[in-house]
Amino acid sequence: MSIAALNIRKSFGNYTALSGVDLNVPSGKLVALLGPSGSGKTTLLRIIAGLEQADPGSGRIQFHGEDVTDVPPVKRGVGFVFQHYALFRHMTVFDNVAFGLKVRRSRDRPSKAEIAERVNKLLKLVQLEELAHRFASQLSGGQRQRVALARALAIEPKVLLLDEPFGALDAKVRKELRRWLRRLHEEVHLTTVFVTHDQEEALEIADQVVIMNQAKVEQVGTPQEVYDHPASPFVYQFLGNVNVFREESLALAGNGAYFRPGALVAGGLVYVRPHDVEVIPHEAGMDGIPAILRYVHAAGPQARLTLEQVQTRELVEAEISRVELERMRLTVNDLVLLRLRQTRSFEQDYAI
Amino acid sequence: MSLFRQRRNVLPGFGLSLGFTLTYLSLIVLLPISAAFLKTMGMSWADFWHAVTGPRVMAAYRLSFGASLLAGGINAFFGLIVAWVLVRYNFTGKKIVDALVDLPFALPTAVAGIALTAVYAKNGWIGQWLEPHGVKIAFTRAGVLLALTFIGLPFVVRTLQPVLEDLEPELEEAAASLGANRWQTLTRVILPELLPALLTGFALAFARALGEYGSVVFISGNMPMRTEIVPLLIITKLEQYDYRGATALAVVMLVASFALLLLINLLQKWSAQWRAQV
Repeated sequence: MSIAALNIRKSFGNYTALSGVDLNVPSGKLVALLGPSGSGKTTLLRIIAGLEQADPGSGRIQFHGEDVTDVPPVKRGVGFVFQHYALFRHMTVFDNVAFGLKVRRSRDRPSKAEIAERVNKLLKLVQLEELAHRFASQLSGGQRQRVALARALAIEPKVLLLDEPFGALDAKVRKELRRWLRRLHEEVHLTTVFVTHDQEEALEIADQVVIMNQAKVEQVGTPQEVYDHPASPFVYQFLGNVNVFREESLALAGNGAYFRPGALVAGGLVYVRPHDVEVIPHEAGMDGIPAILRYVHAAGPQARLTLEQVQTRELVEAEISRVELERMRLTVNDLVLLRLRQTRSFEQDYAI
Repeated sequence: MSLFRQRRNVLPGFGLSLGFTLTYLSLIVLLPISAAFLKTMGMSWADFWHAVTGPRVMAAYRLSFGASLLAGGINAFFGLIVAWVLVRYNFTGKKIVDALVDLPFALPTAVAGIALTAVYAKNGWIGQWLEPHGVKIAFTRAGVLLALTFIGLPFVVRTLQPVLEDLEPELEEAAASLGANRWQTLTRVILPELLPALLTGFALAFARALGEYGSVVFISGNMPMRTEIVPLLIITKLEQYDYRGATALAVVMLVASFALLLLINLLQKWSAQWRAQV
C-alpha cells in the first residue's frame, strides 16, 4: 500500500514544523525520513499515522490513492512503533502483542485459539517466543523494541511507521536490530517509513532516503543517489564528514591539485569528503596544497589525519588506509601535499 | 535482601540512619501502641471479651469500618476524576481548584464538622432542600459517611497526581493506533497503570477515616447503636475513667486496621507485580 502526503503544513504556535511537505512512499518500500532534530520528520510521521492533524486547510494524506486525512488513528490501520517502546507495563509480552486483536469488536475478533496462534507466530518472527510470559520491565531495550514491533504487526497494518525505533539503544544492538529490520522487511514486504537522525542507519537499510531540514524536504533518492549527488550543501554535510575549501585558496595549489567539477563560481566553496583527500609526501614543484600533519588517529580500519593548511592555517580532515600511512612513514609536524580526488561545489548563496 | 548484606552498600550512613529510623519509630509509633496493649493486659480474658463484643460496641465497629471503607471507595472514584482533570486539562482557576483539594488537610476537623453540620442540618443551605424529600444527612449515618469522605479526599488526589503526570501519552497513542477506543484505552491501559497508586490512596483515605473523630462527633449526633463511631466510644469510656475498657477497644481497632491495611498492601503489591523486580 503506497503512502502519499501532499502539501502538508503544520505549526505549533509560532513554530513551523512542516512548511508544505510532499512525500511519496511507493508500495512495499522501506523509506527513511532522515534529518536533524527539529527538522519536522517525526511530526510528518505522526501526521501520517493520524496521531497529529495537519494545519486546517493544508494538504491531504492518502493510502493507496484513498484519502485518509480525516480518518482517526483508531481506524487508519497503521502499525506505529515509538522510540521509547510505549509497551503496556502491566501486561506480559504475550498480552501486549495480543492487545490489538483483543480490542476488536466481537464480530471481527479472532477466537482465543486464533489469537494465541497469531501471537506465537509473531513472537517467533521477532525471536522472543521463550519470553512470552515476561513483563516489559524484565526485558532489555532491544527485546522491548522487538515486542513493540510484533505488537504493531499483530493488527496486520496497511503501513508500518517507526519513530526513531533504535534511538534509545546502544550502538551494537542498534546495528543488529536495523539489519534485522531490513531482513524482516524483505520477508513481510510491508510499506514502511522510519524516522532517524542517524545517516548511517538510513543509508544502510532504506530503499529510499528522504532528507529533511527546517520543515522542508531537501532531497529524495536512493541511498547511493543522495550520497553521491547531494542536492545542497546541507545534504552534503549531513551525510558525512566534510572539508570546506574556499575556491581562491585552491588557485595557488596548481592544476593537478584537485578535480574540477566544471566551471567554478568565483568566490565559491568547494566540498570534499575526508576519504577523497589524498595525502602525498611534500616535494618541491609538485601540485598540491601544502599542509602540516598535526594529529593522527589510527584506532580503527582507517587512519584519520588532521592537517593544517600552510597558507590559510585552516584544518583539513583526511582518511587514508593504515597501510598507506605506514608506507609514507609520516609523523606529526611533517610537511605534506594534499590533493582532492572528488569535489563538489555549490553557489555561495547556498551558504551554510 | 538481608539487613547484613546492606552493610557493604556504597551509600554511606546506613547504620546511622537506620538506627535513627528505628529509634524514632519506636518513640513515636511503637511506644504508645505498646502502652495500649500493656494496659489491656491487666484485664482478664472474660472482661476483655465482654468489653469488646457488647452490642453497642459491635454497632460502632460496623459503622466505623463500614463508613470508612465506603468513604475510601467514594474518594477513590471521585478523587481519580479530580486528579485526572487537574493533570490533564488546563483551565482558568486550576491553581485554586488544586489548592482547594488540600483544604480538608488543613482545616481543623472540628471546624469541618461544624461547617458540614450547619450546611446539612434541617435549616442549613442544603439540608432545607433535602429535608422535604425525606433525605436526612445531619445526625444520621449518611452524615458520618459525608464527614469521612470530606477528610479523605486529598489522600487519593495527591497520591494519583504524580503518577498521572508520569503516564506517557505514547501509551494512549499506542492503544489508539492498535484500534482500541477511548473506553478500552481507559479500562485496559490507563486504569491498570494507575491501580497501585489508587489502592495506596484508598488505603490512606480509609486509615484516615477510621481514626477520624473531630468532624464526625458534630455531624453524627452520637446516638448509641445508630450513629456512634468507635473513637467516640473510646472517649466515652475514658470520660467514665474506664481506661482498660478504652484501651481494649483501641487494641481491637489497631489489630483490625492493621489486618485491613496489610490486606490492601498485598493487593497493591499484586497489582504492581509488573514493576521491575531488581
